[in-house]
Amino acid sequence: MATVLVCDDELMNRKLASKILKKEGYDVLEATNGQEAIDLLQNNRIDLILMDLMMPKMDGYEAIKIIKKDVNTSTIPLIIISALSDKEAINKGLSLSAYEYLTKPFDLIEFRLRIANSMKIGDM
Amino acid sequence: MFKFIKNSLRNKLLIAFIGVGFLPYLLFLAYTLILSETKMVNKTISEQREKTIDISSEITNHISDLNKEVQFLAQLDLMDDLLIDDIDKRVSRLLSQKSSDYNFKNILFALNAKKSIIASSDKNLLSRSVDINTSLENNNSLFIKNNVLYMYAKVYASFNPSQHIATLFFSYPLTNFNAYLNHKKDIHSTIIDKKNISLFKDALPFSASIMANSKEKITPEHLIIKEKMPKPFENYSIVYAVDKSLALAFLYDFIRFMLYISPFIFFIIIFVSLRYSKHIVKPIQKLTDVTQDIIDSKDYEKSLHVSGKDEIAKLSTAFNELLYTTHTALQALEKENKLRLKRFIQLIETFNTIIQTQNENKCITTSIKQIQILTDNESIRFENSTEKQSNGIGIEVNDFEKNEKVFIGSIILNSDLLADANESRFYHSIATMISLQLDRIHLIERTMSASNAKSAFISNMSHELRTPLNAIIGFSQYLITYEELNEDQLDVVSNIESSAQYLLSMINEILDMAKIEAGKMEVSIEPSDIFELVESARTMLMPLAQEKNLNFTFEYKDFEKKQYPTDAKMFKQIVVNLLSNAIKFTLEGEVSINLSSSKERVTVRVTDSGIGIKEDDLKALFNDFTQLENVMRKKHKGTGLGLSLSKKMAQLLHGDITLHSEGEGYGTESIFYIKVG
Repeated sequence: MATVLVCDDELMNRKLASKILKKEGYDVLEATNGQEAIDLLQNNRIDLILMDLMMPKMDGYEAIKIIKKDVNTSTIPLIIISALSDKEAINKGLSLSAYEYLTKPFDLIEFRLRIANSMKIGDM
Repeated sequence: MFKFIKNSLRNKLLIAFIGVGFLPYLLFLAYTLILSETKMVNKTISEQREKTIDISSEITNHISDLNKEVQFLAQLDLMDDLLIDDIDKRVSRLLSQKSSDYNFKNILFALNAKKSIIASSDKNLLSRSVDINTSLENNNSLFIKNNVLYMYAKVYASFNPSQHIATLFFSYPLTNFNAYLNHKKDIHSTIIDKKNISLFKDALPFSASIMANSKEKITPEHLIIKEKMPKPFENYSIVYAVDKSLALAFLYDFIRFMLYISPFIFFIIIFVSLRYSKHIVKPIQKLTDVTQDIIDSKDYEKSLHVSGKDEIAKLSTAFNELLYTTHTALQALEKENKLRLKRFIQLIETFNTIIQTQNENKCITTSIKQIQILTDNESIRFENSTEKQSNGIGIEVNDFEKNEKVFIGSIILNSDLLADANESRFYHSIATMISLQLDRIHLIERTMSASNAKSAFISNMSHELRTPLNAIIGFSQYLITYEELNEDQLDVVSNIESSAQYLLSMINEILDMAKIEAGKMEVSIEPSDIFELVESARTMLMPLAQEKNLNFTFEYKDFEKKQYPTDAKMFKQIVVNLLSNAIKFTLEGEVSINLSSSKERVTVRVTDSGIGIKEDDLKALFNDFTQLENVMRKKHKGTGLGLSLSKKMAQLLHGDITLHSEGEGYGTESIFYIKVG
């Protein structure tokens, strides 16, 4: 079973994502900031990362940079899910080799489809 | 008519010269004509009178000589012969010889006591008796009888001087005087007797009797004088008549001459006048030309050439001096003007520099530096002291929070500068300017920080609000998607979800507005398929229109399908907003979209048959947070930001939105255009 890492400082966001992902049949690991996500990545096999951008301690950008530098984690598909909807933030996020950028609030159907697509890419 | 004289100095001079030249000539001519004639007449008369007197004296002398001869003859010894014969042939021969010696008519004869001629130069007269009184006195040796002058002398016997033997007579007809008279073609002369009868027939071309009572007479043809002859011809007068033409011949000749030369004189006068008037006027003309030239060219460096020493030369010299003075004054004035302009520009630059300063310190230091440059006075400085200085101008700024003035320091000047009213005013103005700029800087700072705070607040709030909404929407969708809800539950959850969506859209609008106001709204202009954008907006709103049974049409025959540069997301947002407004406020009828394009712009017209808008309300619609007070509108929820936001976005896309309505109940037309050319 595929495992998805959900990294968001907001409890409600993590809960929502986990609930949907579990319903879709994924295992879910949760992190509240970038550092936690990196720690979890080192000890677990992760198939997909959902990363928020604005978080305390270590923000999403910083965490993605580290993830992408590490050969063990750099190939894991990564979707940014952020409340930032401006072009600047989106471009910055995608330039860090994220597969997708979803803005909050997301549409459930779209969310489901993008997760599924990213999983397929990860399988190839 | 006299304009040519009035307007030209030269013509005036010409007229004056011609007048001055001709008047004496004409006067002389008139004088000659009127006065000379009388004078000439008088002169001729007096000349002739002198002549007659000369003739008279000639005649008298001649007669006296003849008389002496007669006396001498009478004393000749030969005369004794008269005693011998009554008719003495020897004496007669002598007398005859003597008589013939004279080249004028005369008869010499001797008369005895019996009054018989005993000897004569004319033989025919011998023995004739003559009625002459022989006892004549000795001293009275002549007499005139029947226009004949008789001179006589008594002949005495040589042997007895007391024996009177005969009287010798010399008969001299007065007609002999003719020889003394002047007879010419034009001069007529005669001698008339007491009865004014001429001695010579036809001597005068008129009757001598006209001289009866006058010594001189002027007839149309003649000048006539009568001069009484001296003794013994006192009964006779010489009459002299001169043809007037002769007397006045010279005058007439002179006048003729004058008339002949008139044209030449006229020509000379005109010629001289022309030359001289030209000569006089020429420098004036030149002066005028140069003056006109200076006026036209505004070249005050020109000057007049001065020649001679006359009034015109003096005028020219004075004119040159005036020019020089004017030129110098103008130059000085120009220089001063330039200086003033420079100062003025410097002053404006100073103000400009001051108003561009963006913080308090820079404002003060820049201002002081500018004043130093402007006044060329480096001693001017700013003293940051709250105590007022006697040699300074205080600067006060507004404390907008406490609403009071705060003294922040002084511009320190030389006290001399402050004493001068104008200087003082100048520095006070600059101080006021600095105070105003400081106020402005403070206000801008306040506004900026307030605006930034507002933007940050709105941005934060939106983010904070969106996070729980995200959860609400997400969980609602989760329930709808994954849980098997009954109809009632589904309805409740759907309501939660749609309300949350609506709240989200309002938050987005507020966030967009805040971004636009803060100038942080990003616009990315890229080639976009506008037709597709409009079509997708229509598709998106189609369900709403269908719900209300509205006729929702889309017309695009005037639209050229191609890519146009615009921000697609914003463009679509605007069209969606306009369409949703139109559908929202239309109960029945239709909503139509018209898309058209031209070289410069793309226009979207959204027309509805809805409630319309009052004219007064049209403008208010674009104000932030405005929804019109209308029963119909009250049914509709909204922030009232939609139209205002759309308009602002349209303007960001170099376009605009205008609303048109014939009034309430007549529908509304929204026109949205963007510039693409």
